[in-house]
Amino acid sequence: MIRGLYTSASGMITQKQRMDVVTNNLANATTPGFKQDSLISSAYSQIPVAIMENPSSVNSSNIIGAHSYGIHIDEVVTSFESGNFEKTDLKTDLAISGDGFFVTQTPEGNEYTKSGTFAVSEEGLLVTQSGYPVLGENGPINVGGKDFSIDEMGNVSSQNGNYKLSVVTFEELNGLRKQGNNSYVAFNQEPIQAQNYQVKQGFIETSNVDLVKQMVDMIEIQRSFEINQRMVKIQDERLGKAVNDIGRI
Amino acid sequence: MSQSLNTAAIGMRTQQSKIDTIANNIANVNTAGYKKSRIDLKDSTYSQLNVREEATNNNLLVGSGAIIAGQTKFMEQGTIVPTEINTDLAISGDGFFALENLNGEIEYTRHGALKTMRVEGVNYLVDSTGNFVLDRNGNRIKVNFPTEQIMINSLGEISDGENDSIAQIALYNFENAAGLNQIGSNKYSPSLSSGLPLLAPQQEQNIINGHLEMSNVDLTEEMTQLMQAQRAYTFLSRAITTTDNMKSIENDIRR
Repeated sequence: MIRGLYTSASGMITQKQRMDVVTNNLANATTPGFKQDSLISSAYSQIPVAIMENPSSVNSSNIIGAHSYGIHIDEVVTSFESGNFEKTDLKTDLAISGDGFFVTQTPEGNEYTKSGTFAVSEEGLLVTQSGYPVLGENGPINVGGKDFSIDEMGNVSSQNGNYKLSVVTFEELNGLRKQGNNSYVAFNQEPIQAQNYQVKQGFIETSNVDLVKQMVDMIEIQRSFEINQRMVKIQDERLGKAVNDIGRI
Repeated sequence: MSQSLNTAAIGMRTQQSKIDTIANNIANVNTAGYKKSRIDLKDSTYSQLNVREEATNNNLLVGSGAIIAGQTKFMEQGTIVPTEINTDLAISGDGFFALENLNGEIEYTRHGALKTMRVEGVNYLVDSTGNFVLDRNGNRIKVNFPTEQIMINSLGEISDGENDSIAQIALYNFENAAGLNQIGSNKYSPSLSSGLPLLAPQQEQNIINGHLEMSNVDLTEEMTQLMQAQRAYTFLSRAITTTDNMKSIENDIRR
């Protein structure tokens, strides 16, 4: 019976963690290039439940089935579906339609982003809003000023020469780690040159958060949480009965 | 549990600043020479979720909301409307007028509603708030004939219509105009990211006399943005309610 108490508690803990993920999705509903997460839970490995036919011998137990100690979170999966494309007519707003990430150079190494709300730095480099250079195939891109154009393949033509934007993708998109700052770091894998993409200048990619799904999830989370709490309560009452009332005449 | 409360609260605050910026754009929809801004968001830091058993992968990250990534200024041209006033100037294309304020500092603007002001017996060409407009040599512009006779051609040369021009209004360009500091009253000052002011080539100044440049705010677009921000705000407040309900269930765990 105490086992059941822990099972219900594990359900409550998992729902709380799911709520954290849902709230983060909602908070980023208007963050350009944001990709929604979902939390996948799975049951703890099953353990056999046995009855003892002959209490005097430990070895004579008879397995009658299996039991699990409840659930735990197993994976956080990021959905890399494309968001919508919103026209802004700003030359420093870039979006990638299809497969691909922009590469940015940070002090901690290269990071990858879908959010193309870039700016031009004081040296004339194309930078992210945190000030990190956006990389082309041969290093940072010096556009000089605001007059530059980028075609669908990512060829940049500016007053300071021509460049090609580096657009990469990964074999295991789910192996990417979110880093904050709208960016990802590669974990145990190298980027590969993207093939099916289109760079759109003057557009931003909106977040792909499905608000309806988040709201439904939120309702479901609250109810599952409630059910698990009821189970805790029922088991508490049963334990109380067992402890206090059995044997009372 | 307080993670989702914090996430929602931070998210709401960020949406609030977004709404503030949109409100400022809407408030300035009729301000001549106003340039709209936009707040861009980014996701905040991620932390590892606490797991007791070996999970399928170790990518169990949970975010902590959305924060402001930066503000983007749109320097694109606003609509140019006729006003029939001879001292109203609109700049077609790039460029800023240079103004000397009362403390002697130089500021830049695209708002060209000019007039004359009498200082110590001399008429000077000034902007609507009384800052001196500068010519291509960096001097204040003295006007020695009545304001009604001022003629300004497309290069910015000022004359009384009969004699030669007395001065030429200066236009300055910036390498990255979107990086200028906004200092209020439609004025800007150079910043590290805008670069230094560069005097526009003499023959390339393009001033339209008798017109004003309106703001580049597009109301439809601002309203759409406002609705989006407001929806996000509402959803986040729902997240707070839900988290609060869960907390109270947790509190009543034995009841």
